[in-house]
Amino acid sequence: MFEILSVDTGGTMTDTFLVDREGNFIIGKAQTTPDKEYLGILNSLKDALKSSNIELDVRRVLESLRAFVYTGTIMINRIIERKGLHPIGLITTAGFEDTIRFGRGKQSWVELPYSERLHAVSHYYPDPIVERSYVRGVRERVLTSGFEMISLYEEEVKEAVVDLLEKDVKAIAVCLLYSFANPEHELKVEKIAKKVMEEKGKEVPIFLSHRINPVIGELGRMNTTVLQIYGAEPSREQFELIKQHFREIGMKAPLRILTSYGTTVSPSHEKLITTVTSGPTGGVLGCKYLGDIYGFDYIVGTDVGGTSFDVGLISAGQYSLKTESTINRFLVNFPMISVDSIGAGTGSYIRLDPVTKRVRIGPDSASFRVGVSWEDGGVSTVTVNDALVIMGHLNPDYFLGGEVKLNRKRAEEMFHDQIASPLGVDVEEAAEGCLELINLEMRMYLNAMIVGTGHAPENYHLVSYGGGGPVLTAGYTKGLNFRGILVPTWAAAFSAFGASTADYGFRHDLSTELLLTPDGGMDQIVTEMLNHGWQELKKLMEEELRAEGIDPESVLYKPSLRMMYFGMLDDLEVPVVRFPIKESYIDDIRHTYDDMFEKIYARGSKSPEAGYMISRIILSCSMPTPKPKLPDLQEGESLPDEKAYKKGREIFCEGEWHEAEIYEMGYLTPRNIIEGPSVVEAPSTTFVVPPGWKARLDRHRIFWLEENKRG
Amino acid sequence: METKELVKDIIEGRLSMEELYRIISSDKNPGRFKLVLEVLQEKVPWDEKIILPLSDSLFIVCKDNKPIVKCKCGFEFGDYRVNWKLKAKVFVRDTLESLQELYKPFMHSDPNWTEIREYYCPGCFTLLETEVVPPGYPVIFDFLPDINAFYREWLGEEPPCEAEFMDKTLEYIRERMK
Repeated sequence: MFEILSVDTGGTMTDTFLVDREGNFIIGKAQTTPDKEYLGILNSLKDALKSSNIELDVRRVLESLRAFVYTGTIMINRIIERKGLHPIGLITTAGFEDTIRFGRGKQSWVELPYSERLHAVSHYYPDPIVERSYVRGVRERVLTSGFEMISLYEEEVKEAVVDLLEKDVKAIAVCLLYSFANPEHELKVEKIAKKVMEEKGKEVPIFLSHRINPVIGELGRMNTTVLQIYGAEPSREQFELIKQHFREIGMKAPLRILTSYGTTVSPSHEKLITTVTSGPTGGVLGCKYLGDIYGFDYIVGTDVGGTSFDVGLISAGQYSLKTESTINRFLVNFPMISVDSIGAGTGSYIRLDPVTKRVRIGPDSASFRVGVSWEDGGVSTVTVNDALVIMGHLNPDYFLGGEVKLNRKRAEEMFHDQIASPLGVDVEEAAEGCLELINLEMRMYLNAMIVGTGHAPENYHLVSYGGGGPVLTAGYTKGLNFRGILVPTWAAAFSAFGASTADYGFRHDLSTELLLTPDGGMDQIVTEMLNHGWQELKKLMEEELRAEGIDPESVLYKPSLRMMYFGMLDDLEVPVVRFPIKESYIDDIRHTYDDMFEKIYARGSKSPEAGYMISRIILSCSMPTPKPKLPDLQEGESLPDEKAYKKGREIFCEGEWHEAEIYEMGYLTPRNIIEGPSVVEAPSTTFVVPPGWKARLDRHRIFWLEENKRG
Repeated sequence: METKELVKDIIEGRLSMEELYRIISSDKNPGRFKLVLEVLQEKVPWDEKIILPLSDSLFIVCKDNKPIVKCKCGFEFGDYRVNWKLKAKVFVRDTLESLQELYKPFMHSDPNWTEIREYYCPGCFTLLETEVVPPGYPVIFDFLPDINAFYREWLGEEPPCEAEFMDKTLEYIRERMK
């Protein structure tokens, strides 16, 4: 019976990944239904059952589930479309009323494509979520040390709350300077606000920044708090609705949502905003999971979607966590697994610059509307998909398992008119040229990312996934000499798979500035401060766990901290075995950090002479979580079974047509070797093995792609 | 392709930043200049053909087969190769009093170091241009386009009216000094 259901509701398609006790999985796809997400999820689930010919009632599948994991775009779409809770009142330290409106200069360009970042004319600021007239300053000041310099002017708080209530705010955010070091003033504001509300007989929820995100940097903390109210609070209801609908049709497993730092939480989690950009996180978690099974410490995950190419790195067995990033251009500072992307995917539009005749790919795309080869999609500009259809890499009669019929002739005609003819070349030559261009763009980006960390592709295994990954894998890895190239047969739902490998749990970060001097003179004080910090975080966590109906005793607590060499700018996360720690353990922490630094950067740049700085105290908690197993099958023949062969066709590679072998992916068995030129087809994805390459399927149903040695 | 309506919206400033961004970041439209001229021509009350816009209010137009500078109100500044500022009304802010009409005390420049020169159209008194320069600095000739080259080499057509490309400002001043 199926145990784990994982769904990824993207902007256009909802993917499902269903896995049973032995690691057998099925995947499904359906259109996302933005108004009623549960419908799209249900359809996708039905599609998974239908396309694998499993005659099972949906109710029976749901009843047997032990886990239901969600990742998706519900929350980010609410923020992008500006359909959040409105209006919100904001109380902040007097003199800082404009912080949220000013934002950071970066906010004017941060999510633009590179070409537009270069031009000041295309920079613009996002409209603030809290308008200036809804921001009230109150006089007070707490220093970075937590010392109260100026006490809170309580009368001003009263006035501010009265004023905001008169403006009919739906919620009030409180974000005072350095509240993470000393939350007294924020707590006082809350108390006064509650009293005023009682007097006025009007109650709205209050959110305190030190509870949502007790981290240094008032803009990031403020934005996180405001976005929590604006985007996450209203989405909570939506998640509850999904849960309810699935409860009604038999599901007993709890609904869990993937966070951007790689765990899953329930919809009632206080800091729900941390689930906002969970989509790309799933893929990285999947890579980490594969890495643990195969014993790889250095992995690069590449996700080719319809619109973008996402890259995540795992170095020394760890994915890197960014402590600062943006949500729809707003700077936030809660931890996120770092995944970088460029606007190049299989749906990317291909255009000629009308003035210079230069070929330009993306950054916008036809996404689920494929390209001109799908007439019903209503697309009039050719896309990368069209080029792939023309070259025979995609089977026009087997796109999404034949559900969408593509018109190759139409693609050829329009490609001829829009690209080939103005350039004066043949259609297939133009198609291959465009493909090479997008591959080159991806290849250069990959290389730059890896080399940028001080490593070389030779150190890394590459995993290729996303619906469009396996079609282009050979193209975008060519010449980079990765240690190995892995293409999972479930590439299309790999992100959903990755999400299902995440622990049930969450983490709290607390900013601090603790200096470990080279002489060790501070060790004792730092030990005390660390233990105190973890203790405080644990108290907070226990409170939250109880609110979610979980026994805090049943949970595993994992302390960690972020530190750096004194004077450096980037910190690393150092795991700590348990807390409270003894003073002598500080030495272990120093050594762990030294080792990690050496693996992630370079030995020569270590600089312990000036001491160490601890920048964050972190506590994570996790609960026992059912996780999927990888299929583990017997290896058989190297020659594929007869059933696997389909009618052959010609594919265009390196300037000429080749007679290629076509296989049905479902019939291939472990140890089968596919020699290029070949195409392996499945309803959800297509895997191209060009001439001069070969792929081997292993016991876990993962292809290993390699280029034959020349000469 | 862009329609005339869209170009009108750009010129009138009716588009949101998101809509504008989409236009800015997409390919250049080779036909845009023509559409801009059409829209501008409809906005002005006179008939002389616009060759090139200079600013929101000023245009180089073709009159009696000669390119001249003309304000949207109809006032004519004459040959486009002579700095039109010579015929504009000018108001110079070089005292504390005049600067503090615009700025709060200590928020403006030192009048001994810089002055603000405001150029107004003698026809409609629209503020056409502002210069902030050290006292005594020559009047700036903002923009002297080579119309012949622009039309022939960039647009690939004959200019509507021809004039040799050169700065005639000094010549004009010399004549007036006689």
